[in-house]
Amino acid sequence: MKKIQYIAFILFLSLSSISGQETGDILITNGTVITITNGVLEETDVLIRSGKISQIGKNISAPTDIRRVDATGQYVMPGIIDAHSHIGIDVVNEATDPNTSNVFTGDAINPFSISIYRALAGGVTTSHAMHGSANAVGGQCETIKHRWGAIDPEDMKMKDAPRTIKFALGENPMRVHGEGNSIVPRTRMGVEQIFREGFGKAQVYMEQWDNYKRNPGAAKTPPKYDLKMETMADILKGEIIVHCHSYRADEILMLINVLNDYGVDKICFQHVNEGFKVAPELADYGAMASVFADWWAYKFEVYYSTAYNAAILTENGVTTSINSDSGELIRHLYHEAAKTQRYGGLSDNEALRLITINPAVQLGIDDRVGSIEKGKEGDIAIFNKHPLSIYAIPQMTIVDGIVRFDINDEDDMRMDIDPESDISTYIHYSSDHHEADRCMQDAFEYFTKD
Amino acid sequence: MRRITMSLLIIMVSISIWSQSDIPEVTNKYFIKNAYITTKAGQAPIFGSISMDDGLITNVGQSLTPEYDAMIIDADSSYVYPAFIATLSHIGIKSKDDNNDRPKVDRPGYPPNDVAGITPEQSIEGIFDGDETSVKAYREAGFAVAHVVPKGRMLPGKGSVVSLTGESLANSIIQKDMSLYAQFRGGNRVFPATTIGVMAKWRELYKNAELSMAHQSAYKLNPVNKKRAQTDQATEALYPVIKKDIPVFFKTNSSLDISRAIRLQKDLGFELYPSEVKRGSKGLSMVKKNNLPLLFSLDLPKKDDSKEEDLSDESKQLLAKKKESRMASLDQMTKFAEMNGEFAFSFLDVKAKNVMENVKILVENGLDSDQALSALTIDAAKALRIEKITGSLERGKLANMIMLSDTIFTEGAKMKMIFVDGKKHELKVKEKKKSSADNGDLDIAGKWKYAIEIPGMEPTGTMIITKQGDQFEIVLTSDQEPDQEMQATDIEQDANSLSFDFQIKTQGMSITVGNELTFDGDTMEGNVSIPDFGSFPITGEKVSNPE
Repeated sequence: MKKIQYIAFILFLSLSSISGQETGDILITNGTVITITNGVLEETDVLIRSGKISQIGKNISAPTDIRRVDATGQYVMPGIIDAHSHIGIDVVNEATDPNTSNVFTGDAINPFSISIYRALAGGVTTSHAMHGSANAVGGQCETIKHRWGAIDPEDMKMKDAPRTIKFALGENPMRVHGEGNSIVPRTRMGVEQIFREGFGKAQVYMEQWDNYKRNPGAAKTPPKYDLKMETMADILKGEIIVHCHSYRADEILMLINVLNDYGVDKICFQHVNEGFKVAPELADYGAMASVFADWWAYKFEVYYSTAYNAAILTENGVTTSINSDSGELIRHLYHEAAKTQRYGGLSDNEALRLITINPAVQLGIDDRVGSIEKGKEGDIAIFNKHPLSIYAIPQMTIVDGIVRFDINDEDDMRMDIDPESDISTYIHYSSDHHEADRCMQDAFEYFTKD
Repeated sequence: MRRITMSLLIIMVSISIWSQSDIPEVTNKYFIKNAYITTKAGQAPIFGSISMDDGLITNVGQSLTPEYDAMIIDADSSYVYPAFIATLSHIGIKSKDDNNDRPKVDRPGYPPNDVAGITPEQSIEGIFDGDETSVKAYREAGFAVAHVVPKGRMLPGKGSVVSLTGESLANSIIQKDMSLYAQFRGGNRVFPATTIGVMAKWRELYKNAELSMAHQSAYKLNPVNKKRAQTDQATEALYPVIKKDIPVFFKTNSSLDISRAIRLQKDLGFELYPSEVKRGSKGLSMVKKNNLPLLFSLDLPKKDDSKEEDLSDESKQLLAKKKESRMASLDQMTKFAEMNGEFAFSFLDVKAKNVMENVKILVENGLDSDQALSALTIDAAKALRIEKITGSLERGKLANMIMLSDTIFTEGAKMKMIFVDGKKHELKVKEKKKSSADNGDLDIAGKWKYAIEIPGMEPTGTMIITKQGDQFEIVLTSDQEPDQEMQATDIEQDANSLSFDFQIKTQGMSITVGNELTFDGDTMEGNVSIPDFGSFPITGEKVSNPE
């Protein structure tokens, strides 16, 4: 009897957690379905029920009250995933300390940020809302689903996605803390010490708390609660995937050594412009790489680079993705992926994997999204042409079975407007344009001492 | 010569001190007759009398007889209402100039608490001043009681409920340290500098306070083999919040702020009042779902007066959306009331002189006037848990009431009298100055150069004052951005002083700058106040007369 109650309770819990997020039913008919994991299926239907892909095949019959979308002559692909962006959050950098593992971008989600809708208009359904790169150990990040129209920031979070954290190597943390505040790290050596110090202290911290928890009554005093150490300890326990901003090959190898010393194996390097030099080493450690297609030379440590980076990493067996780090690039990641065909000759499927299943693997959500498979979440992008064609235009983007972008939407889709702003604000890109390195948003003032 | 001026000054100061010292009132019994008395928001007025003695209401009703020694006030069919209560405010807090220099700390990640803006132990004692101009201004706007909180950053301190008598804090205080005031405003380039930093710091402070509180009570029971708790003032100041003895009034301007405060409240468990809500329309159902009350800001968004015919089609559409957004701010109270949500107003960002005007705007835009009065009186009292002693006119409650020339919120209704703790304050009913002669003919029209002393900036510019009939018009330009003309609004003249606002538009945001200028011949000086930034001296001189 007790057991039944327990099961009922669990069922109730899981039901109530689903009801917080809206899901939908939709039948997409007669499209060219690019599954990513099971080839391309011509003239095929995809049925989504309660937000999950329930059937893929020809002439699927579905109840008549379900919305039908005719995709004849169009391309149906899984929703695009961006493993590195800063859209949809109000704060990017808490740039006050070289280690801010206590902060969490999930606390600053802004579901009204128009960048989310613009990303949807580029077929992107999931993005990794990252902390910036001002600090060696940055804040924890949030994987968000682009549920445009939701009002509660909690509804943007991809529930139960693995926890992730931002690390950063090189110039950014050196400038902010070394030059700006005259504290460690002033050099690349100092950056390494921030990680070693953090992990070393976390080991001691974990031991203190383990002892205390074993017998709180016996303790002379409870240990101090330290949110940074909690997070660092969770990294050591393997509960958090590290995403590390990096450029130079020597530093990439440095971080692999550090992580190896502390037994941390969940690591995805971000930007990793010199990744092509150490591709075998990355593959060997099981490290992943999320790169720009062809963006470099915006600061000294990013001059040695190549558009062949993604192809070389892929050929060496490194799980690779192409990211945006920008509110503009995120609108055409399919173009960015196509560049790997010009520079490196990747196949259609290899190129598309860079913006679908591979970033999903890097975020630990590949069992839920990143391909069109039965049982996966109903996140779909529909294009008028093959998505790797320069003429491709996204027509409709679906998240959890709900249409969140339709090319026929009205022009002004803003949800929240400052009643005292200039009416022309909408047209400006503000801080979302390409030139600004969004990784350093909120951190520029820290460069100088005064 | 200088010496004579000095001694004159001393004499003047001593006279003013002497004149302030207590001249005993003739009586502290008052009897108001022939008034339309609304005893409680939402109830129909009665035509009758109200008597008070020594600060308390002794009777309300029809056909009462005054006591022989009461001062009788014939209301002459004026309207009497409970006085207002400012549910959350900085009334009486001297604004200290915010130091915007980067604080000197060794490690910006670990600043001392006071540098970080974490002073939950700070009471309003020592920073509240009954003489401060805002106390008088709010009292004259009809307020008898205010919940006052310190200014600052993340955790400025504890709030107290005070009576706006204008006396010292000791004589004014109703409830000391009854709340904790919190903001998402972070430190100046020290941790926590951002919203995410503030939220992390909340979690850490709270958890450590819980641990040390538990340890302290365990130590009390049996100190053997235990170390004394090592805490600090800030940690201990959180104990009453953890015990839910006092609520947290959290400044949450937008629905996003509200959702973040709710996130913290769910994680940590304190009692929450989302406050100073300006753009909360999207968060209302979230608030209701969590069964929370709301304090709406009376700082309302300004109307956009752009003329449609001057605009392109695209701009017209954008303007329409902007107007829609302003309307959402104006009818959010009504929407929340329809959900049976409990609300009152907060007064952190609104000037006393704009309160009544803004409530009228809300009423014009659909807020039920009983509801508005309720939010200013009895519902405010409930939010502060003082409804047993004030918020309505009943026997035994504080004699806090206002007398108006017409029904409340009616255009042209003038505040004639206010009683605070049974003490009468009569208001000079200001007549609009008809001719400039009444005002000593302030001859200031012309072109002026001004300079503002902001450390490190020293902005300068030109101000053109013209006189249209008996109204002044002021247009400002700054030398830094000579193309942008700023039109002054809310211009008010008082003898040889002018106060006015203007808007600076920058990066899509609009900042309201307040000015108080005093003119003397061809020179002027005064103060410029910029929200969240501070107040700065301004000086200027006339360079030419009107052409």
